[in-house]
Amino acid sequence: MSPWEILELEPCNDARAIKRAYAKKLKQTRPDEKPEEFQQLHSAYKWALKAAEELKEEKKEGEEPHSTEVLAEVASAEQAALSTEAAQLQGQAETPVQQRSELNHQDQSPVTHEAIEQAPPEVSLDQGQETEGERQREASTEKPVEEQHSKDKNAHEDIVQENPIEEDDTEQDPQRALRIAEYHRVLEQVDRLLQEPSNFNVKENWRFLTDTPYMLDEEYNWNLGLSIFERFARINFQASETTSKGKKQAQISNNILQYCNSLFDWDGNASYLYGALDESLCDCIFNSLQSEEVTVDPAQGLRGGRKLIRQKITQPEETYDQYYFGHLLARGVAVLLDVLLLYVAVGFIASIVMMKVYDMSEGAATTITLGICGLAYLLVAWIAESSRFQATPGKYLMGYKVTNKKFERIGYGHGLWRLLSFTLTLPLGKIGWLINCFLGGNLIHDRLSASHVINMRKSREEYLRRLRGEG
Amino acid sequence: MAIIGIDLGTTNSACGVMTDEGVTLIPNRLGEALTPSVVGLDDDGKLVVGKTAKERLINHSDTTVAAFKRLMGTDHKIKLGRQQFSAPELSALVLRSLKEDAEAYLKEEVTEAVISVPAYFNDNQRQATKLAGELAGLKVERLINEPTAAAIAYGLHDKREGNFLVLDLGGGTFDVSILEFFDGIMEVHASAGDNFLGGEDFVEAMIDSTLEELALKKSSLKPHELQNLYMQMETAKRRISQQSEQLLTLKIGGRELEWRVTPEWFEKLSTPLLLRAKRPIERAMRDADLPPSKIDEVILVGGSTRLALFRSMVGRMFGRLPSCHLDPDTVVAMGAAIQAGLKAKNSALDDIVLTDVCPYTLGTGIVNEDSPQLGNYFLPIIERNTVVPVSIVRSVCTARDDQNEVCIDIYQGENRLVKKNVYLGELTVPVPKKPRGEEVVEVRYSYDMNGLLEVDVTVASTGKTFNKLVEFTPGALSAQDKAQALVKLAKLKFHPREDEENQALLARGERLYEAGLGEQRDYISKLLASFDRVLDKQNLVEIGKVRAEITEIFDKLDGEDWI
Repeated sequence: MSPWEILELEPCNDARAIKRAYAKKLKQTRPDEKPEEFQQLHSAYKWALKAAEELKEEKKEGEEPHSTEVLAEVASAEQAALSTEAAQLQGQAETPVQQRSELNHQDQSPVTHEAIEQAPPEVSLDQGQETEGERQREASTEKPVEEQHSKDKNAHEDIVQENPIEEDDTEQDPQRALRIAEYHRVLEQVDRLLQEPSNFNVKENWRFLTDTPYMLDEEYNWNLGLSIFERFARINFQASETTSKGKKQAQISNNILQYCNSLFDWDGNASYLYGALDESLCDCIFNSLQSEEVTVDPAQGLRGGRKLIRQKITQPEETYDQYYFGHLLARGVAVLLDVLLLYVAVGFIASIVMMKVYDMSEGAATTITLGICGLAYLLVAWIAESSRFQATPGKYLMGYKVTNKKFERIGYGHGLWRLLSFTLTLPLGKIGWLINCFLGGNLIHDRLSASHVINMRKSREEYLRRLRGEG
Repeated sequence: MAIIGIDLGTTNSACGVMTDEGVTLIPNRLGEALTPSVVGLDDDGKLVVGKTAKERLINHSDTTVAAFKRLMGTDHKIKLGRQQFSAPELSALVLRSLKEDAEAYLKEEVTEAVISVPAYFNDNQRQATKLAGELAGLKVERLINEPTAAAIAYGLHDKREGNFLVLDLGGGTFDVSILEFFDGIMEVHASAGDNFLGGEDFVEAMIDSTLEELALKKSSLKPHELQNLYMQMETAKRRISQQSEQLLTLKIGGRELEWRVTPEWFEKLSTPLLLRAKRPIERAMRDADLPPSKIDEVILVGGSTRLALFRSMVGRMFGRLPSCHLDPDTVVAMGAAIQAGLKAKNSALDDIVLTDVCPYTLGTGIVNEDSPQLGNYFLPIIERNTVVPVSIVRSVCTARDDQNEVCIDIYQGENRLVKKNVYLGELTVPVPKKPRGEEVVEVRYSYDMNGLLEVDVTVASTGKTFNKLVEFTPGALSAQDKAQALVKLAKLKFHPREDEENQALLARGERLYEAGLGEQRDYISKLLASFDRVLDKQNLVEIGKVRAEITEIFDKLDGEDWI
């Protein structure tokens, strides 16, 4: 069935008739009752509306070839007249950058809270393009500026060069002149702050940006956002360059980037920013914006209640298709590390106490405390390996995890079983060690307790390597 | 049997019903249309909901909670006294109170309701709202988007045809919808929004700024000081455009301070929030692909749209004054009631059909072989602003040799990386072992009129289908948990209906006492003592008389237009 048949309508270019036909059919095809038929009807309706528009245009072109020009003029005049911000958002300029700049130049409605004024309509598309061209040229001629001062000047030129075109407007519109003055003042403040690496990563220091109501003005917001974006990008780009050479330089931290992004919507205007600035500069900022996960605190604004109990959203456990057993030697080292750690933490003090209070010799005290540490290790290993870390500190450092046969976390019960198996194998002494050498990392007590010690780090790296290799 | 329409808001809730005479709002036990979404337990362990609970928020903040709608769809729980409650449970208590009001008003049992949710609520939040209805003993077959409800109310009221832009700035959420109304058809073109932006955020910003200037930490304040501060700021916010300067006496940190609230200060604080509000409006306009000239009317819904700053921003964006001739606080409840009437197939409404869209992109994760460290890519299946109900299939294949399982993660959002989108659940299906790419599974997403998602996965080679309504939902309950929650909530009882007004008055008196000073305090405490004596005598006529007198006095004392 063709869309026209579905709508039970003769092909036509009358949008009103199509809507009427659709409404009539829709009442027999309610979306909640007949979902599939409804989808069909709805797409037929959308298609017919589009077709009607095309038909209309064709007809006009065919019948009155001259009228097209007139129509186009009317359309553009209309477009210019609708110079509210949102009108420009819909503007069908050729490239997004132009569209955006057109928006900036046409929106000149003064910032007053009561009056809603229409902006002067006489700004054509060409002017927008010209300015944009200039801006782009500037951006490309601008060298990776090391001298902070020249940046200032550049930014100044940025605005000044735009001005000649709109000088008349500026005279007519004192509000706009005020906005431009404010823009320069705020930008100076930004530059001063950027001179102090110790202060520029404190979010409170950036609050001044919202002190002016002009922030809500599209033109002001975009221009200031662009200038700040450029400065940030240069600093971070330079910092990443020097860091790779081994020196360290302060970067704009992520929370400042997120804050400014929330004010200037860099994310939403990414295509315009890429159009205005170097790709590597933009990447530098957008990559850091991407890497951070923005989480809104759901408890914000919640009032009252004795206590908010947050339940942790359990992260899905790591799963890979192949796992690698931990190495015997590395595991030995991990155990030694753990015992040493316990000795430093507890045993050291204990032995001093023994020496002072019980008058033991240093050697005897050390031997006893080492024995205590060995026992304590068993207890710590049980708790730590069964916990969500699945590893003792030593194993954790090695990137090892204790799992059951399904490579999942073992519980405390299973952990106790594992502990018992280990103590049972201890009397085997050197023979045990010898046998273990031939078991490929799956040791006697692991086998006895149906658990594994897995080298998670290697498993992950191998998994990623295979993915890349195959891709 | 009547189906009621409920607007379950962050700050206030309301309900309405469609009768032969038209839409009516149902008054609560205090005779008011709005019931504050505040829940508390009083000293006897009885349940307090609404205005009484709101009055108790200051002195009994341990056992009272507000704005819990923000926690819908999360795993968080709130402790009131010794008991723990989840957000759906607290919402259920508000719903139960509304349900009882409706039953008293209609003089019949009410078991079914249409509940409105923010258009931009995600699947988890919608499921939580549905759950809240169930826990309150209401069958909720239909959830309606708040802006859509408002547009229905306007559409029916004005009988105007054309394109509407609805901006709904409530207590905690912001919604934008673009709709067209013609020949009895209400068609939603696009929806966008921000689930964490509302009137409460403006108050929060005022408080944060005040405390920062006074070099105080929020956590260092006593609960009642903090709640008092909330109330004072809330009131100051409401008056901000009428008064050039307000002098508040703040009692914080054991000191009394004079604090000046000026429109300039407020404007400064609001700027970041207003900037956030602009984004969804711009996006909805882009998505609907309509030039602003084709928007016939901009409609404001939600109490926070009374803010002059918000209005003037909208005015500047669209070059016209927005309309709001229906009460922005109750228009959503009216719309929900109309939808409920539609659902009950009330003959007068048979000629209205509503079509809605899905506000988010829904999709699944696919293996990202270019940069595995960033996590999987997002494969959109249902694009945002597709008209619903809709059902779309996409095929995916295995990523590795001899893969024996395929895990379909379900995500919602607009980012190309899954980890930055909202995780809704997952479904794992077994597949025969074959070389990479040879085993194909078909993933079907079906999105219904309520905004709830169902996922079917069919393995092409075996023809087996696995189906689920999104299974692993944060905060979802098993049948057993649900039964337990029902028992827990059933144990909580309201005060007798006729006693509610007395309780509200006592709570209000307590609050005034807290805020008052010196002589005023003595006076209030005397009034309350005399009221207690009258209550003891249990003479209804006398109680009514004294209550009216004291209410009048309190009205004079009470500078705050609090509610």
